[in-house]
Amino acid sequence: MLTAEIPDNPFRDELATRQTPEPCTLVIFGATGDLTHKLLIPALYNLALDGELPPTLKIVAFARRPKTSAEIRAEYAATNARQSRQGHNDEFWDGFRERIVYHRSEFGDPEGYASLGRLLDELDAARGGPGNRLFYLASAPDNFEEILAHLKQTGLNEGRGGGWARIIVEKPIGKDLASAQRLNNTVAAVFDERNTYRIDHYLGKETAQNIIVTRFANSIFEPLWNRNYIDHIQITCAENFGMTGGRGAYYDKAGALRDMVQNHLLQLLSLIAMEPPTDLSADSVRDEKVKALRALRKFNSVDEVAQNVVRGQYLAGSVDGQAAVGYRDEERVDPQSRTECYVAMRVYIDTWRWQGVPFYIRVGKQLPKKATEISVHFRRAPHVLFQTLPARGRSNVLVFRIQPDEGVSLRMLGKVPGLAMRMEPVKMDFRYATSFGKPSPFAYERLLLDAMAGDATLFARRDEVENAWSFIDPIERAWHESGQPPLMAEYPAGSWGPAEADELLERDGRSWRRI
Amino acid sequence: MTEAPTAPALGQETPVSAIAASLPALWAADEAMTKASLMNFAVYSEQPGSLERNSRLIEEVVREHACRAILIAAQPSEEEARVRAWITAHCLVSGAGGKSVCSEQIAFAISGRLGDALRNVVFAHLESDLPLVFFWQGDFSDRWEPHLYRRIDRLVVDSTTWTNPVRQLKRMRAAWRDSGSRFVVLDVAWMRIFPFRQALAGVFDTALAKANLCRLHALSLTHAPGHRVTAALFASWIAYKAGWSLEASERVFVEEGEAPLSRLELRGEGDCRVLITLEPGARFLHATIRAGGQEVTQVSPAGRDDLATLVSERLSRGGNTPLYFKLWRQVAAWKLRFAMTAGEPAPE
Ligand SMILES: NC(=O)c1ccc[n+]([C@@H]2O[C@H](COP(=O)([O-])OP(=O)(O)OC[C@H]3O[C@@H](n4cnc5c(N)ncnc54)[C@H](OP(=O)(O)O)[C@@H]3O)[C@@H](O)[C@H]2O)c1
Repeated sequence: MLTAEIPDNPFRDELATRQTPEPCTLVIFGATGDLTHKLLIPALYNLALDGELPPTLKIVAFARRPKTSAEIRAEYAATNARQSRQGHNDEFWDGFRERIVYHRSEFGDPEGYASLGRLLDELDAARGGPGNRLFYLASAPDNFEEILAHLKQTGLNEGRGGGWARIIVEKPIGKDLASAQRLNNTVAAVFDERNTYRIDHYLGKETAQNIIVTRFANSIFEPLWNRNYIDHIQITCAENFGMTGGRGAYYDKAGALRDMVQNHLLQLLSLIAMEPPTDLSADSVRDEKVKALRALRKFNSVDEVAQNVVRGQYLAGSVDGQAAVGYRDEERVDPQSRTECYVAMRVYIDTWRWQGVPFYIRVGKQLPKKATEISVHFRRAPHVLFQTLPARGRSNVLVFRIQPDEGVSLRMLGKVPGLAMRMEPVKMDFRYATSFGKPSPFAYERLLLDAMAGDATLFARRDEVENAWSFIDPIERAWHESGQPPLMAEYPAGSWGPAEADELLERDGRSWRRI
Repeated sequence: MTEAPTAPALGQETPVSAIAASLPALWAADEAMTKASLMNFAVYSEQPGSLERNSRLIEEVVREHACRAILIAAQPSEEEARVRAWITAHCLVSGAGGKSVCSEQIAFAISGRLGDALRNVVFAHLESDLPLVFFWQGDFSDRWEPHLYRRIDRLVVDSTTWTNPVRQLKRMRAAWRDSGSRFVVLDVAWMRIFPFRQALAGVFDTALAKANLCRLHALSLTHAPGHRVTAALFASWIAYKAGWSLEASERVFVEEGEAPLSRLELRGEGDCRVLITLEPGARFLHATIRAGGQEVTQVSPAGRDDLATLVSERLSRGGNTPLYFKLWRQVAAWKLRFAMTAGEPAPE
């Protein structure tokens, strides 16, 4: 018999060692789009398959095409079968698909939101408990303002019955500081910052999270993590593909700087450069990240941009044994395009910790490999003892491999066995795949769950995004608005980028790490 | 005679004194092999034939938990006192780079009254700096002694294999106290319950079940012969979580079918009822919540109940040892009879 007062759901405790996602309804705006098909639905399905998704979670697919719920479910089933991390099981799908409801409406139609409100009320009533709603803007950014305005008009930006309403905003957050501020203002007029979740899927990657653990859970690194011991840091994001799948249309308007550096690479940089947070709460971590971004030394003139930033386009070449066309000959790319698909830069962070330590960043399409890595190059040991030995390869390098083959390695020097004093670099290697056989969940799985649990640590806060743009804007202006823009370098597809990028480091007596 | 394994799974027989020197030879042969280890995983059994069985278990477990595996089979009743050893490696091709990732395994057969040999062979072959996870299979014997258990970090047991669960539990708890609560207990039986716990949590996310939780008070669990311990632990957990006392008339254990747990029913006033079922061979649990003429259904993963999967899963999750012992106190107070196989009552 009942002898004690019952808490909310007593059986939920201790099932997982993470914040529990709360039962809610997820509304996806742009539910017939590529992102929803390829990433969101498979992420939700895999979470359900792992038993991580609240069983009462409902998904409202909001889009404009006339369709029934049965039709959209069948379409999702087909893409899920191709995309799902753990395969597709018909029996499980049959249960899962019942969560999905199609809601047809134009983004601009007020009646569509009124009826959405009624639908959400019905779903809340069926589930019981507070009306928690998670809205996902999975449409082109041009539509964000319209959708947000309607959510506000219909009062859907508030939870019901003590529940919450949150919004997930997809990238790109603006194309410069002004447009990002405009978008952030629009969002802020509808949702509080604490209910706004800006996706940067790089933060959902296991190795990005591991940067914080490596730095702050191991006592041996932090004492060395400063200008006294670190010579420089390199961040590389290489892709071995070009404009496949029609991505040229979007990419040619954005370019590598906006598409990759402003968000993903500056996020990684802030994780590497931040001071230790006071705790692991979302705001403590993000406070420290934003301080690092704010301390990025801006380029104040076209000349400074030319000195520190290299932009480039690939020419025809060969990648993975296949002939590759040049960037301007790609499908849906302007043949006169002045958009960069390669960027290399040297940046400084003006803090006590990092004074004088260069951070070299490079990102590019049609490079030889797909690899995102951060390498921390330590200063060399004093020359007193081993001065007769060649200097090359003599420094310690700590590498975070973000993707693929996630892991961490440390290059050290060891004595080659024998009578002579010969040293060779040796690598101590930690690989996720080797040490932890279990594959990591995809970034979107982690991030969706975090948003349902109200944990914003792995999402970009407004000031992070805007500080990143204030660093990027002068570069874009120098490239596109000055009378004498810095040159557009070139490199053959399949090579490691333009010679100018190598020279950028050679001028400092350094070279790009071999990947 | 010492159990003399012939299965190649155990690898090459090696004198005990030569193990440390012989292990590197496993790697020297092939450049594409890389050794991995996150823990020392010792598996001890006094059952005949356990070495081959446990070698197969390790082969599966290392897919997710790279380790130095140390298997020990003891036959204390043998006349001849001796220790034999075999070394091998379990390798898998890892996703990136096509390299084989290998875990080393050392297997020992200890026969006769070599009481100290267990402790010694384990401690002499641990990888330094890595935790010691010890899977004690079956009942605790004389070899379960302080010099051993005070150095264990995580103790894995399967309480369904105990002949007298309450007595074994007391022994384990005494050791835990004596070790200064040093080791974490991971009961494989607890993992068997996990999919049902998950399904039950899902049920009570619904308004219908939540609103009627206070009207529910009787529990019935259907379990396979030999799995009463699993069912009892689960019942104890439910009672603890919901704040129920579950008097004798309110808890029913039905022995039926092959799945460790195949059915959970909560009954209450009127038509109020929660039912979670697992059909034979099914991959998913089906839950139904019925109350006030309404009905809601849910599907959730059933998990797998082979030992390797259970051990792997158990190692991936933490353990709450004080709570575990608390649940057992309740189970002990119920004075259930635990049968090892259908119809065969265990001695109390
Ligand atoms: N695709 C990816 O892999 C990916 C990855 C990361 C981030 N993103 C970001 O995610 C967002 C969505 O990308 P996407 O590739 O999924 O775009 P998409 O394939 O073009 O999908 C856009 C969706 O919006 C709907 N839509 C457009 N105008 C509408 C209107 N007036 N009323 C109602 N529905 C309308 C479309 O419906 P119709 O089908 O009827 O046109 C479609 O469902 C973008 O911000 C993108 O930058 C995408």
